[in-house]
Amino acid sequence: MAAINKKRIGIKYCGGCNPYYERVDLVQKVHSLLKNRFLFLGHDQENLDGLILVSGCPRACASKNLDQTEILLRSVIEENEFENLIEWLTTLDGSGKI
Amino acid sequence: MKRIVTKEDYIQSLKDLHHVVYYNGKRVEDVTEHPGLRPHINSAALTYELALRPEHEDLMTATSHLTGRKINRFTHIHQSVDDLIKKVQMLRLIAHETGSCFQRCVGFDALNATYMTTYDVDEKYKTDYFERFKKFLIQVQDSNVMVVGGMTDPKGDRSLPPSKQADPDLFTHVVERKPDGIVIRGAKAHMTGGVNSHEILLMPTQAMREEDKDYALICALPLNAPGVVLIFGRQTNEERKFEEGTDAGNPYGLVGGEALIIFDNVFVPWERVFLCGEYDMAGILVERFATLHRQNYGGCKGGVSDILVGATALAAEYQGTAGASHVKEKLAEMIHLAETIYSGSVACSAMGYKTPSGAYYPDPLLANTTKHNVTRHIYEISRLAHDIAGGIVATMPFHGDLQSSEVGRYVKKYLAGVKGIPVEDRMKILRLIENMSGGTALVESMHGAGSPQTQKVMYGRLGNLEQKKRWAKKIVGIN
Repeated sequence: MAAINKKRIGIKYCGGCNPYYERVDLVQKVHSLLKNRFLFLGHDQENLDGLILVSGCPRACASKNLDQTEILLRSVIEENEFENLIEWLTTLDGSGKI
Repeated sequence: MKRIVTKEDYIQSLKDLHHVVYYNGKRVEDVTEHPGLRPHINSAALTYELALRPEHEDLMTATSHLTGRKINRFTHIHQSVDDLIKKVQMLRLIAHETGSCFQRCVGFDALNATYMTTYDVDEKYKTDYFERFKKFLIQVQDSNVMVVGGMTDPKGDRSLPPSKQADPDLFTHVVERKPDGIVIRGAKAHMTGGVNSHEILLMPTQAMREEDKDYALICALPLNAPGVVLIFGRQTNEERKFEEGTDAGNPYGLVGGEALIIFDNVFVPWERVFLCGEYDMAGILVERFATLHRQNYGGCKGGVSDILVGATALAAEYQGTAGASHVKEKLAEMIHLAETIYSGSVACSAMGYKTPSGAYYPDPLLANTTKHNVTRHIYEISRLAHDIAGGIVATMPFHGDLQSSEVGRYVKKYLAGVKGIPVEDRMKILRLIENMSGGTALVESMHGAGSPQTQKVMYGRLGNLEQKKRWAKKIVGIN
């Protein structure tokens, strides 16, 4: 039942041709930290509350050709955006805390 | 054929193929269980596995313009400049996983070259090759089979055209036309990924004249068709593939795994024949395939070079030379060379254009330049890797010595580098460098997708020397 209240967050990756950091590791870190408060799903799922666009470099290919225009978006292009990403998610959640 | 989705599906499909493969004079009953072939199969299998990962789907998959269905990019027809660039990006990413050739680009390029050329043939001759080919293409996209692109004939006496050879089979040709199809005979050489593909798409190897029209042939056939025989090519250090531990080097093999494929009176039904006798169209097909294939080399070899650069940097760290200024300078040079070849592949893609068929095509002059740089830069990258890693690359003991109860302690003692680095790790990296930077791997970068002289020939045709002379004259006022 708890899952019903969780915010639904989609993850969309760039293709990963030559990423500067381990994109999947970053997402797994976020997932480990916040899995009790968010449902992390594929980007093509319905009824998403937010979408994280994970790109491996500043070219930000994950942000290109987006179908979803109605939901909140957060683009990540480097590893040190982790803290900001967590902050964005907790704001989305309404709690403001980890 | 059942759609191949996973790596496991792919391997099972090869078991089910029961094609006639020989390795060192012996028939291979199951290619997936043969240690000499398995590394190449594992490498090609990643083209399936990576397509299922969300972090790579943007590059590894595409939407079919024929069916609207999601397909593996290796079966896609380029619909835009973005598709051309994504192809190159995809090749670099897969090379980061394998450090070796993953083989599937050859069929990818054959599909695209045939698509655009059959359209042109139909426009000129009012044939129906394009419609036939689209039906075949949909089968390939839906089943997700691996197709080997079959261009290079053995060619015999290179000074003679196909029809003048002492043995007419030195170029693949039509030997009989029947109501329901044709019978072909000949062979294709250096067929990358041949033993672990499902289908071959045969193309002419060069421009043809009227007397060679039986050799002007494009057709597709399954590799388990009666009369098809595959003989795997010997590689340098191939016995390493039979070993484990540090001696194995790269578990994905040296290069692609090439085969000589023989067609001994093989029947091909008409619905799988896409050019038959229209000799004047052979040249454009060859040029297109060559351009599409040369486009690739800065992508895959750029990615492979990334692995070699990383391995070389680790070798330097493990032996305490990473801080030396000349080592830093040489690593920077290796990166420069790797990014130079990648730049070429991206550039020829960015300058690509739409053909009458609707398929997009890379800039041929830039694609040829890219491949030409690869014939030089991979040797130089490898030379620098040897320079930094040291002579130990060529003289290191066996893995068995490291494991030996009698001499293992000496190997651990005298191959030690920086304190805290396990000797086995150092040996793994050095063996990887040896694996990736010598023998067959170098020859492949020289001759794969065409020897350097074939690119020089293209410069003569596409380099627009007359225009350059006009510009020079104009600057100094020569009328």
